[in-house]
Amino acid sequence: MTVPASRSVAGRFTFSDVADPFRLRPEPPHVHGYAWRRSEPTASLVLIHGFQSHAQWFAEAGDFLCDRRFSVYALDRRGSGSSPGERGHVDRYRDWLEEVADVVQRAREEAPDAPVHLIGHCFGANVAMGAALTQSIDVASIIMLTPGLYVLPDYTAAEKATIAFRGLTGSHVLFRAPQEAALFSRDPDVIAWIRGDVLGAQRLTSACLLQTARLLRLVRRGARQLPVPVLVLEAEHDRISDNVRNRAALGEALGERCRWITFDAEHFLLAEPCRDDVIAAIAAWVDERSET
Amino acid sequence: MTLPISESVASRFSLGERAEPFRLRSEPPHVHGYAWRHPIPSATILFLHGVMSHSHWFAESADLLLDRGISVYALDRRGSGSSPYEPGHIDDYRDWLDEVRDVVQLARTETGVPVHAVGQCFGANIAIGAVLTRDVELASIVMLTPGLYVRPDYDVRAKLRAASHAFRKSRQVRIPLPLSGELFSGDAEVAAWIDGDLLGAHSTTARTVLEIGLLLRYARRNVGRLQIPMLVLEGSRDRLADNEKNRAALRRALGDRCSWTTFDAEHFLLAEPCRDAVLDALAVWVNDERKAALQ
Repeated sequence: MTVPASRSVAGRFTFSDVADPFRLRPEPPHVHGYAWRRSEPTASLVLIHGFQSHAQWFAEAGDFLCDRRFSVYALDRRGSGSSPGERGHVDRYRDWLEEVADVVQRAREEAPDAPVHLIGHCFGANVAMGAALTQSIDVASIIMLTPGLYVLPDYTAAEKATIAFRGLTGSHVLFRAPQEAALFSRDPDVIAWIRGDVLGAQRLTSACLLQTARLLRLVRRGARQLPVPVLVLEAEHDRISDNVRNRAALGEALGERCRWITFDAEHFLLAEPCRDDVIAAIAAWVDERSET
Repeated sequence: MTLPISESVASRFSLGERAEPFRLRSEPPHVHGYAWRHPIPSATILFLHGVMSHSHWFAESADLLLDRGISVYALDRRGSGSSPYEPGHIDDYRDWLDEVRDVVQLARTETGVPVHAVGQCFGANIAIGAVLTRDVELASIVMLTPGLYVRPDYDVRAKLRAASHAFRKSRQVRIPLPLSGELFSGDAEVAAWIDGDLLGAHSTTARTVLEIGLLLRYARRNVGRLQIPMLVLEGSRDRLADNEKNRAALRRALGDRCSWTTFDAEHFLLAEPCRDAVLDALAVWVNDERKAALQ
């Protein structure tokens, strides 16, 4: 009848009193998110969630980063989390990049002296790169948490053909994302939480998948032109991110402009035992950029 | 691999373009919620969610009520939905009543029209408690499948353990709610969505079980003191709310001050095929009350 909950997973992904919900843009299409504001932040961090996640996955990290004197903004992309928009659908990937540009602008307006850093989790790192490459935004760096430039689980050839066909016919049939919850973590409580998470987009339209592929192509080809330094935090036991290919691609494209830190962890770094080290690594990187 | 989306359940409970997040109070403890603001509202409805639910459950209904010229506010009680604090825990049920007082004040300030509380199941008990104990200016209370008496209950062993841990103020033990998705709806997709919905509370601390019991006792004993009209919308096939006991208690306490409408439906009225009829009934009620107030 009773279940222990000394530090329940749901509690870890619940917003604290510091998190303040916001809505971007005076007119639709609106985008929602949460802000952890400091009165005089040393930097502003914009958290961009992955394919299946949303702002609440960063509830705990938002608090910890705020404690380190950063203002934090976590976006819910349209169709994810508390944001409006059809679940798991986007008409054009540039909508995602414009959302990032708008939240960066919000952060700069609220703390003009604080440099803005983008932190992208998995696929969110691709969105961060795309925004830095195509939008007129002033960001100091990109931090990639288990980058999603290359990922291991993929659709079969037959599934890809079906997706392409559905995309051509304009169908809004949904396809399950190939990244199953058990690939994010070994912690059964975290896996159960992800599996039951109704706010994420675990199913996607073919249009969304095609736009995702286009964004991937853009950032893979354009990585070399990234105007900002990059910190990559990778997980040694990651079963989603393809560490070997990501290292090869980013190493070749960015060379010395890219720094790497590897943790003894699975994909969802901020829910792993190394969480505090990850937060410390982010803080050290941002502080270092501020000093220089 | 593929799933139909034409009426995807997840989309029905996703917020639309007109939902605007808000945060109550300038200082902690904060409470989050969403507002659907009409430029010239005829009335305002405040949705108070049930013991397991949260504001997203009203996403679709709020949009449809906005289309009917009504402003809508939906609160996430602390520990539910996007609001802060430990999920499924409350130290004192009166904190919930304070939240209602504050959101009603916000709605009254922003809209300037009468505010009607619409409580889903247990949420209606909170509305009753708030009106009776706080300075809350509500025009009426609408009980959606009232939770004054419900059928599923904890077994004796669970109650004893809850009492034991509540007195020790232990938060280490959580007690699953005796509810499941299939009690809310006969629609398998809706039931599955409810079972998987981690934004709501599927289990509570022992203290919360005790506080729920205290609020229930207060609402049952004092509902007759309500000075505002009440509308009860019940589902004839409800397997969660105890229609007979609710009817008996509310008739005895309120008499003619309570109006009733029964739908051929299960518990979660706003996800049932009768949804539009339920929303029409709500719109007629709040607009009639508005006319009565103007007269």
